[in-house]
Amino acid sequence: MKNRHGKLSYGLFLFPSLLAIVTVILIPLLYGIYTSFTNSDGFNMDFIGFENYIRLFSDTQFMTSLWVTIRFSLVAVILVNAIGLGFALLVTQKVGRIRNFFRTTFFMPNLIGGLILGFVWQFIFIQAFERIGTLTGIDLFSGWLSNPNTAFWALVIVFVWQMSGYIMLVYIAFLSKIPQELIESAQLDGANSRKIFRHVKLPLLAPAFTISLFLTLANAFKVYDLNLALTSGGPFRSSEMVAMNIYNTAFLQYQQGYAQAKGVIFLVIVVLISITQVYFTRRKEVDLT
Amino acid sequence: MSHHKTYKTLVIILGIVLSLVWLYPFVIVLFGALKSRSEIFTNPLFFPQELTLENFPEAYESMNFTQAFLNSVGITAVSVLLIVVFSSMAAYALSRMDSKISTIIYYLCAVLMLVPFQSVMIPLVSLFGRIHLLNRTGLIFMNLGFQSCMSIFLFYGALRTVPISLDEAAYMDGGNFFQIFWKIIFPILKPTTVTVIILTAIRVWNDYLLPSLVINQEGMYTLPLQMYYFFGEYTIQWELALAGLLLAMIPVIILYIFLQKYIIEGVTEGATK
Amino acid sequence: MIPILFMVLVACSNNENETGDGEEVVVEFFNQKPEITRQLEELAQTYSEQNENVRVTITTVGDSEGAAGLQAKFTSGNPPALMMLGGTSEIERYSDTLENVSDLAVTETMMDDLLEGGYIDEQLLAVPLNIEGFGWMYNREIFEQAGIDPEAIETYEDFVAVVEDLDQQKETLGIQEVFAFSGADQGSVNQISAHFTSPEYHRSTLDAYEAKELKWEYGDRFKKYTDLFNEYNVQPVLSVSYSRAVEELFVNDEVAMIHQGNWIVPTLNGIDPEFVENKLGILPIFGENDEEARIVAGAPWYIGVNSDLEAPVIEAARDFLDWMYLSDEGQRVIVEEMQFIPPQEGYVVENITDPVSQEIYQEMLNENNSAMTHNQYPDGWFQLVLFPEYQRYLDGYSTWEEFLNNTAEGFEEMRAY
Repeated sequence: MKNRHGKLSYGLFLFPSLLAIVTVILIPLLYGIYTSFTNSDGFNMDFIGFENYIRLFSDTQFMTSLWVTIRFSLVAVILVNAIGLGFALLVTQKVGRIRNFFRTTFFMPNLIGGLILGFVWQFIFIQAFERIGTLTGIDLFSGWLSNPNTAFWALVIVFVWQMSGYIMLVYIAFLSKIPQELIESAQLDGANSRKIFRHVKLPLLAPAFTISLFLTLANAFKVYDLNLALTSGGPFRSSEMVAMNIYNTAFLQYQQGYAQAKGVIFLVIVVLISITQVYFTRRKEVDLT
Repeated sequence: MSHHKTYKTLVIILGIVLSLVWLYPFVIVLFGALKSRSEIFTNPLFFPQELTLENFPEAYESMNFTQAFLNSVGITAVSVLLIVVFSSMAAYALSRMDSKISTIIYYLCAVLMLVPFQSVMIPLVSLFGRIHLLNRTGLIFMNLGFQSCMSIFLFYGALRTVPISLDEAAYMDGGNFFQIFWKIIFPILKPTTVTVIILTAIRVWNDYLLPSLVINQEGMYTLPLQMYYFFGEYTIQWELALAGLLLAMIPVIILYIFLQKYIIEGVTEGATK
Repeated sequence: MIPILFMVLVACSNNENETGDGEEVVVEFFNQKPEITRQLEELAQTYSEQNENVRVTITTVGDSEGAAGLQAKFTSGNPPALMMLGGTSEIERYSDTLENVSDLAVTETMMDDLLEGGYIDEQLLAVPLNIEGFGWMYNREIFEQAGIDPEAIETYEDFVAVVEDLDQQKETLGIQEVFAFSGADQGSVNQISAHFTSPEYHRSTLDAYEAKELKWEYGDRFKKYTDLFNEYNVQPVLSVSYSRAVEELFVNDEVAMIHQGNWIVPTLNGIDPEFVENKLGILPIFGENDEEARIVAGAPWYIGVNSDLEAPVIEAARDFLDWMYLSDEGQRVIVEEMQFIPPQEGYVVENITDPVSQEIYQEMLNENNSAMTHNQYPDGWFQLVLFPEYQRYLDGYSTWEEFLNNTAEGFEEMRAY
């Protein structure tokens, strides 16, 4: 009696969220996989088999985008985690209340959306950098967004500026969980702060690394808003990352079947990265402890 | 001891320098918004030689700030409310029901959370177009879909620490499932609720791509959309653009200053759970 | 399962956009040019006041999102009655739901050359919105100071000589460089290409639209012009944006020439009300050979009538279109307030707002213009292939040969999809 009553209630409680998840993610995903085998232009679609997927391999722009995205993600993961951990160590020093101010400041960029930040930095790279260039006479500061190399680094800089504070919070959470006695006993044993960091803190931070790498990688791989607002893929599509490449194929070229095939590949890559990454970092955790 | 003191001072100096570096982009926007048209080219970096407030009314008006702001507030508020209500309910059902079905749903959610938006956006737009839901209602529903998985996880995690004996005691007192949840369980989840509100509000508020695909009528634009069109117009005037950007950032920054404890805790919670 | 879910969704969805109730006929005009929203609204209001049972409403979706916005209006089952369409490819997209407009009163008055772009399968499905034209916009005052008579430029060699002359006098003229071509702006790159694709397609937008390939028959002329301006351009050329070229360099007399069209007139007027009247001129480009120069002119936008609505709505939409172009009030708003060059014959040239627009109108009447072939390229080609490849060449990352090959290849492939 109670059980049957329960079942209905469970169903009712689950229904709204499940309906939304299924109609917004699951059905479009399945329908999308089907679309990727058609030549859909948004209006009409005919089944064309694997043609879209075959075409992908000779699409040099897609390969460029993929490569840029991978490079961007790798660089971003390293820098964001290095700076995020650095910030976390700085903010957890016992220097009084001012450390709250530091924490507040470092995290602030993360609250503003990528689109708005992209526009803000467009101004900085175009006008402010140019000005720094004229003031200092250093050529390096000129035309940052119009050179493929510097445009790439411009994206990295803004992303790192935005994400480091976020990752800092993860490291802070784990650093503050390290028992004080452990550090004190190490100090009694005569370990200096560098040794304490290497042998006491670092191993205990292993789960934080897993989480942070995962969060940064996932975010870096899917960057779109920032890409759009800062470089819009330019110059000459050199900074066009995969998310933007898919958008352009779908909504500028109207090659929606082909764009969807890219979307499916994108999904496969994201899932693969997530799985391997979690697998490797979990193993590393075991090694360290 | 004095060694310790120098160390402390060094840390503070380093912190201050880094904080200033980190804040400077915002400062540049603030300064720029207060400059005249000619000064913005000659002095983009430093404090304005001549202060002007003229940029604000003009930017405010040409980006329809009031309307965009209210649209953003409305869409965010309704979306977050629905997400909190429905995902806490779903998580409760999952935590209390037959373990097999709940495991299936749990893992489905985990897998769907990985799906990048670009992999579903094309069919999403065309399917929702067919059922006439490319509008604000549709956007709110999509927000519910995209944010539910994460919220359910957070609530589910919290619910596992709430003993079932609590439900059972309430059953004895004659409460039904619905009442038990809202009167007894939901209040216990308050810290998680705050976390979910903060995380989803940030995401929904800042989102650009989804609303840009779903909302296609002037007058319904959210702040990021309006910002994009404001910028996309041929005639970028940096002093106006910076004033507009500042206007768009101010509400978030003010909220952050007042609620930073909750925001930082909420975000930490969301990232580490 | 899936259909049921969607049924539920349909049931849940409340219709946000209510369309006409009772006797009133509502005509929705879908506008893709944000800069004329205010003027269109004025027209709509005037017309609604004069016609009791008709209400015209304007929906605007901005520049780059316009096409997607219109598609969304259709897929969401709430299509407009009148719609602004960007060239033949967009007209073809909606050809199944577009009314044949050949019997409209306004069609009679439109220039034949412009109507050509509105035909799909020999049916006229849209009428031109306005005329735009472009070429080298130059600063007459700077030319005068340099002692150059623009009328005397009769060959490509003359033009080169003028450029070199200006370059030598840079300091006395107080200009940074001769040119400020916007290498950062995809629109500008797309436009300049039209001078060199128009002759290949026999100055016909229809030929361009039907073309399966682009052979770049006039590619070497394109290269000559490109190398010429790039040598005397503000550098780095890729960092010159549209706004920097127009609103910073050109209007402040810091460069002599930019490649733009008459759409910059309202912007220039907003910054310096004297500039257009006293300083603005337009030079044609020798796209086909060394002796004949033309400006590119035509109709980038068309207006179509939705045939899939109820008869009274269609009727009202057609009437509004006639009124917009034929009534005194409509013509006044189009010419004076929108500062458009009208797509119709029969205007007194002097009544058109500014000297450059007058010249473009005159060239259209004389049929001495190049065609707007750049609006007929395959969807996405200029954004995703032409623009980036051209930038690559401008910045020295690739050779002209590579530019021609890559763009031609992309053209063929995108046309075929």
